Amino acid sequence: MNLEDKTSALEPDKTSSTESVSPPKLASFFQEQPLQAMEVAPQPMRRWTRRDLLFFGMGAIAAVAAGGSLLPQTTLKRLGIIHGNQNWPKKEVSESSPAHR
Amino acid sequence: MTCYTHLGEVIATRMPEKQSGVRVVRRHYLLVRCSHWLNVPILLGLILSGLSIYWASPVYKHKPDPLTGNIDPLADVGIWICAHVPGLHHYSSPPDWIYNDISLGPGMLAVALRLHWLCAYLFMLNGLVFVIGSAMGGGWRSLLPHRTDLRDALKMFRYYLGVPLAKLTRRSWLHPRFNTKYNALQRVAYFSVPVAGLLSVLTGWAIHKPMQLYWLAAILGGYDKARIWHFWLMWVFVLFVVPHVILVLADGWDTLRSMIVGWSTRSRDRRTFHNES
Repeated sequence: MNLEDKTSALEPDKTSSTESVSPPKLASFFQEQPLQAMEVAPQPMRRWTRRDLLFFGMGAIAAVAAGGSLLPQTTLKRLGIIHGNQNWPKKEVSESSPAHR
Repeated sequence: MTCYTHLGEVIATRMPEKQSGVRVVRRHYLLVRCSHWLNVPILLGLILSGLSIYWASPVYKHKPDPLTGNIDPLADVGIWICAHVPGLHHYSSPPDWIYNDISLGPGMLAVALRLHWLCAYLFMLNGLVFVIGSAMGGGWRSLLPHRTDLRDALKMFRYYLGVPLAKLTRRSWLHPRFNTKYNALQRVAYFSVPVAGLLSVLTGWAIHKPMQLYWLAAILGGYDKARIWHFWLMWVFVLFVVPHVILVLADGWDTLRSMIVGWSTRSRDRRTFHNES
């Protein structure tokens, strides 16, 4: 695994740097690593892309739902997400007029 | 979500010789992607609730208007918009137009403060996720500024300015070459956003606990100055987000997808020589 390779490749540098810190090693530590190109089978690639997009969509829906539940009722009414005549969960309050702006 | 390990497994399972594979590059580590997308609702919540807090006590004030008694320049902007934008002439409360449309609303200080702090804690937690993700994926290196960034950023800026005209006139407009993950302008922007995030957190704490963290407020020039810093740092985020979203959409599906799935089909070689316009 490349990520593990990266970290394992860095470890000897760290230990050696305690003894002598040479500028080239320090520079290479800060130097951007090249993007790793690779060949991947199209079938699993498509499957994982679909799965990631699905997760992303579910996350977006969850964020909207969580945001909607946290926003105050007056804000939601002003945005038109809920209407003024909806009084859930307080059923007994019924005669309130729509307060649009 | 796809982690790098999954891609590693794909490579490990070698394909038959005849089947052509997809050439991809790893672009974003899982935690960085999560942090990136979590920032969207969190920042939105921070800005909406922050402007509601601003309504209760504006950072900038002018002398009271003789007619309305208004002291808030943002309310003046709302009045101006309602006076000049067709369809808004009969708006019931022009001074509240800004707050009604880009905040939780006027007169909601308590709710706004609660929501602002919830989002602020999530923002700090998310910042930590980003730092861990950048450290694990090594992506922090690609955000570090280079010596030539100012010159190269100007080249990129010139390129972006010229793209619409080149499109209209159907002229070729070559993308400046770069051999790094991000171009200089992206690097400046992506480096400054975490810095702005850190400053936002520091100024936020200085405003929230001015007695306990008096030293922090003092470093920032006092409580009132910390509020001004905090206010303008919000605009840094807004000014970053608008061109960021436009450029990502203009750059195409691959760029947007890479922030969701982590990989891109654009290899660096292609990026170096390809005209992205």
